Amino acid sequence: MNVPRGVAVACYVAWLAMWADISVPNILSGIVAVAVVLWVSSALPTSTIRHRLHPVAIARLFGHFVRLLVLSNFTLVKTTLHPTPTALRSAIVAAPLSQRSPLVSTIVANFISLTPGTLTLDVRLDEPDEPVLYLHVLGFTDVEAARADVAQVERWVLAAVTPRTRINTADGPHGATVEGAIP
Amino acid sequence: MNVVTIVCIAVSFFSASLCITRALRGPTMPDRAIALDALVVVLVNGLGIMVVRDGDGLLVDAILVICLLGFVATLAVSRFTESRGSS
Amino acid sequence: MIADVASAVLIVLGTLLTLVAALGLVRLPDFFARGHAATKAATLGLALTLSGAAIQMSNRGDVAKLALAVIAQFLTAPVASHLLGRTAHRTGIALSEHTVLDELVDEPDPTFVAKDLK
Repeated sequence: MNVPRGVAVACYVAWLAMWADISVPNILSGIVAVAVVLWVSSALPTSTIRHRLHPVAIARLFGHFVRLLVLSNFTLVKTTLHPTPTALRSAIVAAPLSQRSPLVSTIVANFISLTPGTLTLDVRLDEPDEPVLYLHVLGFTDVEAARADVAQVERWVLAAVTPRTRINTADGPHGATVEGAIP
Repeated sequence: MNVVTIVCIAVSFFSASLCITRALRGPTMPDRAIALDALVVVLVNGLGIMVVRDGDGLLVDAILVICLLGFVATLAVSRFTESRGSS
Repeated sequence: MIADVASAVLIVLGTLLTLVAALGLVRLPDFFARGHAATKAATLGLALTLSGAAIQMSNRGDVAKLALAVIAQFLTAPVASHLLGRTAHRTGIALSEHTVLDELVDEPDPTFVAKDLK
């Protein structure tokens, strides 16, 4: 099966939570349902990159997430109630990413959509030069601030979910042992 | 608690009418799509208030299903708009 | 008693946030700004309201279902806004006059082909 075990387990837990009743029919039908979902989704493109999870960094990422979500709502309330031209200054910025792992990029893109002032518009991992994330910024100050936000979020996510291949970044290769081709 | 829930339901009605205003007025298709997605969220919000008001979990299944179906509908509209253009 | 007060506070905050989301939808000048409002405020508002409802539930299964709804909303709201934003930008939606920079307009996606819906 070309889907990692974690995804299958998460689907199964979600199935049990939906029925909210751990009984024998639900346990068995959960296995059937997860199998069907995995079989159907095997037609989708997959990635061969495996990741290592770090629980402490995941907890820290979750803490940052909650803090930034609440902060983003504060700024949003202020902008909605007092729409001044400075608050409405917007821009679409291209922010470079430092790796091409789809899982990490998805987490970064979803995270960025819920942080103050930024909304993900496009993620391009197959660019020949470097993978790039396009975001729309509300309350725009300058380009480097937006790019620094993305880089910071990516650092947090990489600390929590590390791809298991050598990644080439601007400051030299880092990552765990080489297992498979460079993405 | 009774008063609080009734006031919150009234506020939800107002939010829903604002979403519908944008859905009717929004000059482009994505505007309408995101307004309807927000309308689904307002609806689920109202259902959550009703759950607090009733005190029993009758509507919880409805909340879960409507949340997920609202997202699927938004997906469908966005794929359709991408094929058709968004006037 | 404490549970009732906590639920009331959470429900009020959640409803106010969805009100802010709806207000943003009608007041903000262009599509992407409205996407900000609809994604962030609606998601947190829903999470607060459903947390207030989960406090009142005595059945653990109902709490699990509400938690699942909150997690689903957190996962799917950014994806929905991303898809709609990408579509909107590709089909050339007008940006508000407050927009000062657009780095995406010069980089068309080579994998995007406008399909004709037959």
